[in-house]
Amino acid sequence: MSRAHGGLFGLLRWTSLRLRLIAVFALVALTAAVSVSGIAYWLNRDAVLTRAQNSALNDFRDSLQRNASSLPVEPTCKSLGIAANRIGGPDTYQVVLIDNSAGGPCAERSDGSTFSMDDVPASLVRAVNTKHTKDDGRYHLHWERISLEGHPYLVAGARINGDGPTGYMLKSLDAERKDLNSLAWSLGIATLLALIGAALLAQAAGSAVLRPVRRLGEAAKRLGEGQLDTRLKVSGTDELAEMSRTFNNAAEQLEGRVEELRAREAASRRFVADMSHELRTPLTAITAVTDVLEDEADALDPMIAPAVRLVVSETRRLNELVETLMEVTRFDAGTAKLRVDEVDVADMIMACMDARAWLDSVELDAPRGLLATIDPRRLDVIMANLIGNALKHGGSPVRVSLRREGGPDGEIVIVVSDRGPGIPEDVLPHVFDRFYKADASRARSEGSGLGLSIAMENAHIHGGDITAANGSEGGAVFTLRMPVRPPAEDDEGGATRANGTAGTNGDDGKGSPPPGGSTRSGEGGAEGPAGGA
Amino acid sequence: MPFLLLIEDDDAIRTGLELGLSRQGHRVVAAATGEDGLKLLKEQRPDLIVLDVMLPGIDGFEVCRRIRRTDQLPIILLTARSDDIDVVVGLESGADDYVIKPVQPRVLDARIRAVLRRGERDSTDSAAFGSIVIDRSAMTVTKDGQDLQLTPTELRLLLELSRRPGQALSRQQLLRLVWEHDYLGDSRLVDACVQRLRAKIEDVPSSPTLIRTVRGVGYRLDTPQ
Repeated sequence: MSRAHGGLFGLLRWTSLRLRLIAVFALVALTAAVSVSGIAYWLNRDAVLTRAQNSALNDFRDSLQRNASSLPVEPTCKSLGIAANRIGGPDTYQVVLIDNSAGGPCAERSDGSTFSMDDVPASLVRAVNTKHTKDDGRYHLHWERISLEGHPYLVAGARINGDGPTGYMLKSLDAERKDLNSLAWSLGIATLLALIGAALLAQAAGSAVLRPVRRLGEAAKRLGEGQLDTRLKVSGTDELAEMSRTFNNAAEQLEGRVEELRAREAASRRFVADMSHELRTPLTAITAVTDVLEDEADALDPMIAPAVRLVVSETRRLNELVETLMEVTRFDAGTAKLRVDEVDVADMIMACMDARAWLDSVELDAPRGLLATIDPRRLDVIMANLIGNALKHGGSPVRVSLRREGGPDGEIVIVVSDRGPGIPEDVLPHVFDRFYKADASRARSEGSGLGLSIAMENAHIHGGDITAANGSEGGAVFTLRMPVRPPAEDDEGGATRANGTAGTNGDDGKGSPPPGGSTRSGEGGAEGPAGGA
Repeated sequence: MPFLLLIEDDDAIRTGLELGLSRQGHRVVAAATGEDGLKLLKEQRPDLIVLDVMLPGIDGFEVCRRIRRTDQLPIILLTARSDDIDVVVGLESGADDYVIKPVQPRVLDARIRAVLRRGERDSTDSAAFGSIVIDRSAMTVTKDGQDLQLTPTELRLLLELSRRPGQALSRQQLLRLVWEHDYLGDSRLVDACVQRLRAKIEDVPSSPTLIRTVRGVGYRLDTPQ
């Protein structure tokens, strides 16, 4: 039994709490109902049977004695038959009278009776024929309950007049059984009703308990999804209310903590933004005189000229770094905006390469007349970084191809592929990470380590994406996809949408790019992870 | 030799830019505040003003607005912030162009020369669009016979548009033609200048009949029906 219970609970533990609750309630109700019904049944059964039995036996005894007195001392079989009829009858019980004394053995039964000695158990016969020595050697009336062909009967026997004939009676207990059966049915139905009631009660109790639990679960889910202002309504003073209160406290603390972290992060971002901004003032003053220094360097003392040139070149580098840093902080702060214009993409790519003197080392496959509404400066940054990276790590010839997919409102796809060693598989997922370097031991290099990440951010702000892979013929393949029209772009003329960013307008593109083709926009991306070409 | 007025509050930047610009062949006079700058402007009549946005006292935008009330001489804004509201406000207050700090003197020099070139006469004919008459030889524009005060940039923009009447010019084209910017020019320059020009030449600037916006392309100068 206990093992069966264990198995049942083991099964239920995996199902819902509600089911468990119902099962427990039902089990309790079942136990109670079954024991009550059982006890009631057995008590009733006993009472009914005893009463029926006693009345039948008393009647039989009286009738036997009454009729025995009218029997002759040595009765004939016939007189026995008459007596049997008088004693019993079809309405009461069937009777058999036996006499072995005078006229030979005869067994007479009452009319319409099928009762014979074969039906009387031997044990009863023995008991009836036993003299009770304690009671002055008299014979007693004995009875037994038997079952004949599936029907319950009371069978009893007694000797008449000491050693006279023996009388047996057989009374059907069918009526009693019917009564008891209907009682059992009633009790069964009552048990069933109790079970159903218990289940309904369990369901109601389960709902009462589980509704707040479910609310708590939903609130916890919302909290997990980032809705930190989620709170539960606390009503009452029970354990569930206490639980809600605990949840609310936890959520409040979490919210406070997250706010604190956010504030701290915002502060650190603001610090970076402010810092790079502050760096600009001295840089502007220094930059203003670098041209003067550069022009005069040739005329200076050969010992001093390299120092001057170093100052000039490093000042420019510093400018680029600060610019890149500011660009990154704008992306982080979410203040980077698109400043779109409708341009011929092929022209844009040509101009980007032309400005950096890359036309000779890049094979361009770009149909003209493909117009897209994009931010020209940002596309320039992306292309400069992708092509610069390919040139640096893959080496020429770098192939750049342009096509449009998905009709006039589809997207432009620009593929930049090189013939270099490709990108190691373990590096591939990280190529767009900030400051990620494939070779950790590599010393300070020309780029900022931000180029590809900035290219990616610039693609994202257009609603586009860049993927990196290795080509089937070796070499790295970077694929830029950008919608022809940025989403939700509907202002007049499409050009005044946003306030732009780094404002590199016209300074580097047209000016003389430094040797090596690295310009300000291209610089960042030149620090690629393609693995030390 | 172009004569420039530099208004910049930071000593180091002012000195550096004075040095660099002089080196590029400009005559430079410098002021540390907007008030001083406006005073110098009256005394000295420079060809062009290089104006820092962040100034103590009245800021660069206000200086720009005050100059524009009486004067159409070119102004180049020097802004430390590329983000960005600054640029828009600066262009709306009447600046012709802007550069972002830190700036190399040669880049600034290229911008200065481009702006100054806008005032140069390039042909000698004239054209009429409705009530507007453009006299290319005198470099003047009249509306109903009255002289309009246009900055060299506004004038150049109108001239470039009037050279191709009825033909739409893209913002990038206009940036090349008027501002001499490269392919990464800031199209907001064009939009701001068109707004200012409309305010001066259109009867109802909010529903222009002369300079029309061509969606997805740029602008076009029409002859009113």
